[in-house]
Amino acid sequence: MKMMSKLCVMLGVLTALSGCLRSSGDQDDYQVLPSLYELQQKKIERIQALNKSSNRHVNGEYVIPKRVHTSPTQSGYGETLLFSRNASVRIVGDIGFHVNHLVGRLTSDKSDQPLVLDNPQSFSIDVLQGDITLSPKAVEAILNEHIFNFLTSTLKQLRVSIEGDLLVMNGFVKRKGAWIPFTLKGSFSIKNGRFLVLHAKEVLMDGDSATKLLRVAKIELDELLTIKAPGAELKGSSIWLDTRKLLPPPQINFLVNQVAVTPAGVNLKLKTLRKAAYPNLMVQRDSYIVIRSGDMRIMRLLTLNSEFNIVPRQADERLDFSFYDYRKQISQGSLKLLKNGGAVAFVQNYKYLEK
Amino acid sequence: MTGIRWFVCLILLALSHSAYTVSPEINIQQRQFEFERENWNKVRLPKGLASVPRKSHDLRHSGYSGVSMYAQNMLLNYTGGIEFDIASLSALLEPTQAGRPVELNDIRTFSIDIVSGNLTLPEKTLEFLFNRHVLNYKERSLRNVSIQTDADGIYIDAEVRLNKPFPRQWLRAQMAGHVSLDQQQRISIDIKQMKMLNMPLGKPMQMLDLSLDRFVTLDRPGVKLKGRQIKIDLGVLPPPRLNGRLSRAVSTANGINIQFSSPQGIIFDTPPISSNSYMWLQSGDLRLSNMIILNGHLQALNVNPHERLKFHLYSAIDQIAGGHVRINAASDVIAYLPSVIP
Repeated sequence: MKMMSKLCVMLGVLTALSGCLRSSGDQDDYQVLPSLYELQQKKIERIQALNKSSNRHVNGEYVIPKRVHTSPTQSGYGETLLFSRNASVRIVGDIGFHVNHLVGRLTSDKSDQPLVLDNPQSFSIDVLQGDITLSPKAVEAILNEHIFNFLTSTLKQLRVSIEGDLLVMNGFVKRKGAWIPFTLKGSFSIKNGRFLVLHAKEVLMDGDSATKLLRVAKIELDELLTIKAPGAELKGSSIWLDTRKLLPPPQINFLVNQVAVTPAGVNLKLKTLRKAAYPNLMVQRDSYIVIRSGDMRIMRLLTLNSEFNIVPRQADERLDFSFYDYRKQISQGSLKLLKNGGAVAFVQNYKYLEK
Repeated sequence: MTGIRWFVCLILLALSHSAYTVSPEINIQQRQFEFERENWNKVRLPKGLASVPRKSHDLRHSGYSGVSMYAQNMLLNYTGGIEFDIASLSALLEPTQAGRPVELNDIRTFSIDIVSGNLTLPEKTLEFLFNRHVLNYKERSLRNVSIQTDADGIYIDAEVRLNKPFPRQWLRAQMAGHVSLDQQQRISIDIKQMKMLNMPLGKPMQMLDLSLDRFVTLDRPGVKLKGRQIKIDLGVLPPPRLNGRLSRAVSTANGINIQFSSPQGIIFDTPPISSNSYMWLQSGDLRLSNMIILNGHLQALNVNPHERLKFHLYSAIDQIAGGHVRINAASDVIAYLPSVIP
């Protein structure tokens, strides 16, 4: 009896409540919202679309084909292009060149493996189009620190400068066991697109001009001197420089169309092997390197079909990049990762590096 | 034999004289590169995970599929209003498909396996979780939930719709309960008091031996009303799936505090940047959009050193794009992130 009365009380309360709230209605007109997960999926799709629209494999006429094999760790694009404008590109130290403009294809020495930017000895660069200048300082470094940098070399302490349209080379040459100071002034020509030939126009030995004597006596320089090194050889009265061996690794292959000695140095207009359109930069700069498409290791990072813009952190300066010191340049700068999957490296210019 | 050795040495010396002498700078760089490469590939698992076997590793894989993560004094925002206030958390991000990296931009690709930790689900998070996620379906029995907590318990204000045969009306109700951990390691909210339109119903229901689930139905993934207890497990959260062994659940003035523990102790290395608020991914491969960070070593910090890190799990790419990244000489990746996504 007691239980029953309590139940009645309870139902009475509920009935009263329902009466009070009749106006609130009993229909749930709730419109189900997209789940949080669905919203995130839309975000992923937006990011993927942004990424896809970057079309990193398309560079004007140059379209990089996609291979069949792709995975979350492999983009399937086997080629990587490098674009650069108005930048100092050092291989190591002062060995390098100024890029007026250049497009090259980077190829890893192991197919199907990502390019390892940290190891310049593991990839090569085939220049597709470009215009570069070797400054006197760069030529000096190439000769002293690379080409004639071996114990039995017959040339040493070379200094390079420009006089009008001539390249002037001062240094010491070894003859019959003695180091004799010399000066050679000359201009360049091209052989087979690959060799830069420095023709001696004027020769001074130990301070005295030998030009006239050599000409009158019809003596070629190679009859008196021996200059032979991997990448350089004296033939007749001309020094032949092999562009394939001019620089330390990475192996840079290019064909020269035109060479000229200018106040800035030795200017090389390179043969256009394939046309590729320069990409739009992800940051407003006029001095840069862009590495685009393909897969690449940058220290601990693996970029997949990415776009890596390298610019100086000093906005008003020209990029001064070194292949063998780029890690220091990155660690003393910063990176900006973008929504479209690209990245901009604001690097410390080489000259400011804390060594 | 000694004579032959001398002869070989002489030959090598002669050969080396005629070949290039590699620039000392190149030699130094190559040695540094070899050293650093070793470092990048070196096994850096946190102590306690040593038994995880390493698979084959190459330039694209570190050999460890899961990512080990330690978080300290930070906010982990899933999306919108779902945010954990983390005191400390050790976890493994495990790819849902073997052989794939954890892709931070795609929450389908991984689960978060918590090893140990202490975190709080703030009141706002609990409200958002119910209103926007749990109760986002037709024919729901609860709506407009607001929640307050203190050290004594939890106070829920909501509109409820009673089950048949009771009148199908939306009635405002207040509930007060006690938060604890049940034997199945679920958060249990034991409703002790209930009012409808300010009329206490707790006692009559108790007298009539009527449990709350007779009036109201709540049975959603991760949340179930059973008797007068609301049981909540980790499945209540939207993806990525959270796994872990809860060891404590209590109400506090800030929300529901939960703790995780396991017999497996994990000790992480000290991250490169000293800070009291950070997230440190020590090992494993993590993909961010088109970039994979191999073998961990990613530290995330607030771009403002005076603020706590707030990491937006569902908007990680947007957030990273709004900040900047530094890579130190040891190749550790330091991501400085804004609290608010631009």
